[in-house]
Amino acid sequence: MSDEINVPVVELSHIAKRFGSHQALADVSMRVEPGEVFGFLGPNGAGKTTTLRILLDIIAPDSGRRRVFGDPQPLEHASRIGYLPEERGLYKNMTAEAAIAYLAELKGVPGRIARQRAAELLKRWGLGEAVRRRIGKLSKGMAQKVQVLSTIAHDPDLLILDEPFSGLDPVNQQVLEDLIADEKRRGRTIIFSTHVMQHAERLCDRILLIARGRDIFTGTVEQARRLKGIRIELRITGDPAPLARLPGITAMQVDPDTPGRVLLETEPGFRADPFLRALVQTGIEIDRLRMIEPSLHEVFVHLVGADADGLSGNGARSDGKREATR
Amino acid sequence: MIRHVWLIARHEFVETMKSRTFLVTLLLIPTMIAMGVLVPRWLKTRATTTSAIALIEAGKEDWTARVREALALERARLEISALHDWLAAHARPEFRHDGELDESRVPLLLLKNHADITDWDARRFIDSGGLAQWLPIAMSFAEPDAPPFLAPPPLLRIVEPPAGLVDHEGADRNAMGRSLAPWLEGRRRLADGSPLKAVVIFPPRVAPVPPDVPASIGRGPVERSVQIWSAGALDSVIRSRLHDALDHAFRARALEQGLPDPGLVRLWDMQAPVRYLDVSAAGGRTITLADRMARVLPRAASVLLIYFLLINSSLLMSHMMEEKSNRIVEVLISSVKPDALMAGKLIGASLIALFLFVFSVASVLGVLFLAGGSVFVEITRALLAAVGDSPILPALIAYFLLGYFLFAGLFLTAGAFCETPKDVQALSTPLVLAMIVILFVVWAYGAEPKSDAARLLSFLPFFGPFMLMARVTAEPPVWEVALAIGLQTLYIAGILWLSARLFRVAVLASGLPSVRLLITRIRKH
Repeated sequence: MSDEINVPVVELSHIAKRFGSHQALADVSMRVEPGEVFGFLGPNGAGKTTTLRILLDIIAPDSGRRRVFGDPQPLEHASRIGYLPEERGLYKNMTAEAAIAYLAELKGVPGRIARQRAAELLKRWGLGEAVRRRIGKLSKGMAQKVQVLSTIAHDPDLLILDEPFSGLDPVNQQVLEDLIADEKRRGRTIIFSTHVMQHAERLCDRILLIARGRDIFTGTVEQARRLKGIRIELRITGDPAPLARLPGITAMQVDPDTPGRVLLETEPGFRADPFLRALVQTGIEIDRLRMIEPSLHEVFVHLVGADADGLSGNGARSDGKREATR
Repeated sequence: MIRHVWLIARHEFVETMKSRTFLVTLLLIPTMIAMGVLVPRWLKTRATTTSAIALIEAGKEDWTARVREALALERARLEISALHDWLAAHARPEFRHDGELDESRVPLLLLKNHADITDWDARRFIDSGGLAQWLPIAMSFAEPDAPPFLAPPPLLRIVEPPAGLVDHEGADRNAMGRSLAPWLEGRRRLADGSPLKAVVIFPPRVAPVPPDVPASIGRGPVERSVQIWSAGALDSVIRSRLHDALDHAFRARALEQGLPDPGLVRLWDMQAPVRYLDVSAAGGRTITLADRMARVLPRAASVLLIYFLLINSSLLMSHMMEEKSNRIVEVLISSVKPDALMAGKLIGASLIALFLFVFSVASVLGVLFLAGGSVFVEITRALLAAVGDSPILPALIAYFLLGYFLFAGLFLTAGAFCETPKDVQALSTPLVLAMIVILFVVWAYGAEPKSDAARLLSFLPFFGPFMLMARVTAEPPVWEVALAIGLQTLYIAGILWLSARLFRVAVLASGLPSVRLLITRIRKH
């Protein structure tokens, strides 16, 4: 085990995958360290599910290097991995307990222990009444919970969850967030894909943004935010024109509906000190000033749009990728 | 890998056995078999109504007496035959020899099947007191706890013609029709309240006809033909019983007229003394019903194999489709190798198929035995004897497994491409059609199990296991069987290898891929 301490749980390097004429993945690299909660963000069709399937050895990459627990054959470590696919379903005629136990058995847990663990999990997560009920008779939310529990019944070291929050009501979303937090506290590594940025913001230690089969950012949420400059909202009296020339400002927008309201876009890595000094020197009378941090969503839209346009510049790698300094 | 295969096989088996549809199928099998056996029997013994028939003699010949006698002889034949069947099923062991009734201890009359019973036998039966006399004799050879003998119900009852009919000697046909209509249409009833089913009129000049005149096929003039009047067509059983009795009466009359000594009519009953002997014992062993069964059984079993494969294959496909459509297959292949998944499914489904097969055969035997019908008990005895004395049972299981694995891999892989029942239908149709072709070919060539065609088919993929089954009692040379089984095993290995490659592609494919794409992906895997 000691050798594994320094080994990343997951390591993908320049992975590419093509399905017929469709290039699903062009170049994806990622590295997930033990105990991390790693968010995998991207729009539909970006290649998230394909990447996760490659991680799980469900499909093989056309090129690139893949290692899970340091091994290029992830299926050899299937018993250490729990997987929740995006499209879900379970055996409708099986009881919740039997279904969870069966999948745990496939992951190497002895039959009797698998049943015990399944019953315990169901009770712990509020499904005690469903232990002996057929899955077909459960509500959709309960069935989804059963499937989530089936991914952790064998006590995996690595959890891979593909869009785990999709289809869940707010209550069950919170339950799932609690479950992820719980697994993190127990030292498990968790990778999940999502397009709901709030979940990533709340849960992830690091995130990877993927678009059109390429990773475009890897780092913390804070680092991601820094990729896009903040916005500054001002209420002024007088001519706003000098504001556009202030240091760090990339764009200015005057609100035609609200007299004196001006919105300033800043460059990534914007520093407030030189801006404020220059602002005072303009002599413009300022009624109000507010600095707005970009949301992850805005960063994402910013990056995806920029990637499409072949963005280069601050923070951009020569191959078009951005990487935060760890 | 072995643990995964076992877990998946066990899951397939247990979950299928627990499913409601399978339990319903299990209930339906003996129920349907029981219904197939018992309902016709019940209808025959309990629900058969006795139809009243009136005979009218218009001439001087005593045709009515002759027809009455012919019907009585046929009735006696049926009673003797029923007594034989009952005794054959329930005779005590000391009155059996080689599984059949012992001719040295049981009266000859009770040894005869329906086809063996002559007029002479029937007359002897009637003259010696009929059923009242012979039932106690038969019972003296039967087990004490044998079920009671059920005499076949009479089909026809000869009644006196209703009073008030027109004078049949002088009446024209129109008047006769009008006169009979109220009786035959049920508007008027006989004295006991029963309806009159038919009226048979023998015109004055009716006589036996040779086979080379139109009258022999019912195209002669009505006034010189036996007229059978009824409202609508008669039931086919009544019609044939009546017609047989008429033929019998007219043939007997012709023989009496043609022979110098009427007593020579008895020569009609003379038969060839035939013994069928098997060379397995020095001096020959009498061929029994079990031997005849052993001859037919393999061919029937080979057809049954195909039938069960068809049922099981559709089960296999729909299970795979369910896992594919609800995406659980993705979780499975993130846990186990696709080959293990496929192997587990094949083994699990083969166990289900084997169970279903054994259950069905046991149901048939059980129903036949419990049905208590004399014929059924005799057939069951012969069936068990045939299965017990020959390699049919182990061969059945061995060839079933060979046949199963030849097809199951293909069906499972086809199922892995399916996401809807429509996909299942589209992909299973060519496979099912292929199996039907095999069924016809095996049935046709299995009749001659030693022919070159049958031998050749034993070596071909897909046909082999079924043809080997059909030839199992034809004692094919050991080297032929060994070579055929070896070849079939090779085919299975090849087909499963290809199926496994296709399966890996199929489980994650969305929709049906083109052949070109399929080949590309198979190469990658």
